[in-house]
Amino acid sequence: MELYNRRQVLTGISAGLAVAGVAATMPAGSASAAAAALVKDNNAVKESSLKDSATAASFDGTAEPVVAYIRDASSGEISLFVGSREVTLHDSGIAAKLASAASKGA
Amino acid sequence: MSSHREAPEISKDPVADSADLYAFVSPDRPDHVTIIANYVPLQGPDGGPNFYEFGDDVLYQIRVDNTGDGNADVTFNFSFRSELTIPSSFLYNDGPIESFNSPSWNRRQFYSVSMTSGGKTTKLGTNLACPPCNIGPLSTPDYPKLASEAVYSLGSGRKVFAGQRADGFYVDLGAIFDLGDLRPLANLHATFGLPKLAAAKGVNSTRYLNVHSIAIQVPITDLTKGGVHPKGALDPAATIGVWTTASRHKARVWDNANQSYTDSGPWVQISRLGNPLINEVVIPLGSKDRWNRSAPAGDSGFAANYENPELSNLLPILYPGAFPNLAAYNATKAPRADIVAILLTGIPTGVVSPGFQNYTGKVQADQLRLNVAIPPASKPSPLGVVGGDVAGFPNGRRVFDDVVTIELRALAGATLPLVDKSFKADGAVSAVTDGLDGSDEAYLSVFPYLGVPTSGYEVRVA
Repeated sequence: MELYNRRQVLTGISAGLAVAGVAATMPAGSASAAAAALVKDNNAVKESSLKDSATAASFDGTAEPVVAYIRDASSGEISLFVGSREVTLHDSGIAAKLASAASKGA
Repeated sequence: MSSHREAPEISKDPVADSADLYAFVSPDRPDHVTIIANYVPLQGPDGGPNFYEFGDDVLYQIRVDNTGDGNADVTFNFSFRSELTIPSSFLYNDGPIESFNSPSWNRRQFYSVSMTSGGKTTKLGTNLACPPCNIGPLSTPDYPKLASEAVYSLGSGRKVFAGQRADGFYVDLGAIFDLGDLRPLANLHATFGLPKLAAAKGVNSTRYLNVHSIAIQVPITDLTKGGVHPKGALDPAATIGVWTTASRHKARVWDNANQSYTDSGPWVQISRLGNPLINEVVIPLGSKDRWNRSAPAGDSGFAANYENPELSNLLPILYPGAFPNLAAYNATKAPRADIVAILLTGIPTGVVSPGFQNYTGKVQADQLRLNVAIPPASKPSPLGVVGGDVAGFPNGRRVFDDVVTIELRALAGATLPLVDKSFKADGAVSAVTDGLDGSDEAYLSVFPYLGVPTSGYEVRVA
């Protein structure tokens, strides 16, 4: 498992995390969990809802899909699954934005 | 079952469900070890049109510990991919499959195999073909010949095969899980106040069922510490510990655009198998999924289940009066050092005989331990070490070993005198069996040793 801070995610590893889409999942029935999806699915959160955030820089590529998992948004911990790797990001701001987006998409 | 559908989660994921593991010095090539890991258990041979195959999204591994620390020093990695040659047809094949080049064969599977040792991974083979399933006399008219095409030489004396085989394991599942009413002893069962049952022969639950086998045969020196050829059976380098695992990517999402799953993230182990029947009858239901996801190096955390096996405590209750000595021993709550040695550390020198050991040290790890310096038996006993044949289970495991009877007898106290000279095994121990004296399927005398799978057309009612 690789550990990165917010800055590394936004800059240093963005090339490695070139993505076509991001999907975040949460366990069924877990009220505290937050999730958001950024996929080409009409039912998913629109890409534009995240365009304004600094995270947009990470979504420019198209190489591999990324799955984001947020078990508890209040912890700020986001697990990103890409290829055969897991990247753990600690960022309360991004977690909160995704939680908010997930809430709006419900 | 040895490990067929043995835990709640893996029972829902057959392609990743490790069913049996065999490791033995090859009888026809005694300087080579054969390891066979079976998956996709309990195949009804006529289960078409989507016949059985390995999981393209599963990483299969055969692991070998040669340093006694419970961790893998040598790993064989297997990855599969499937393809359709006639996607417009619903059929598995639209004509006889007489060779791997047959244009009639629609659904095919290929695999790659690599070996990781000393921190280095070496490709051993890519795009190797699995044989088709055995469909019937029109679809697969000469199945033995067809399947033989799927035995590949990997160079350096190594061979590999991956595909459908007859399940060589035999067990009376119906009796064992009907509150342990072993048919030969059914007349002695307590029956909980219900009508008595008559004694009878066992019924083989795996009769005419198939599995998918990953079989590899390698020189002994591929597996031992430092690549040495052990000097003799008492050489500490002679014993290896073997287990198999299946892993899936951590995350899975249905991709509607591509109409397929996207798997991503690191591989996560979801199934493992070392000694037969352990996650089946030793590990309790509430811990089985955790056991499947854990590594042998951490098995001391499960040691209590081996020290006081639930089945050993149940036998005197299920068969009142038949096991008084075992009942008295159970009452002391003393740990079963014999079971711990057999399953978690191996048997030290001198316990069974002066010339035998398969001890790997103090680290408790559920591994199938094989002393590679013990040659194949000229007259093997299916009861292995319990039957006086140290070339069989629990020194490795051969395809024909009667592991159900061996383990039942061990749990009933047959092996306790090896470590506690004051204990006398009950007279009933030698009668403990599920009543089967072998598989209904013929084994092969050469690699991959497990027999020709039953065809769908020929499937018989037991």
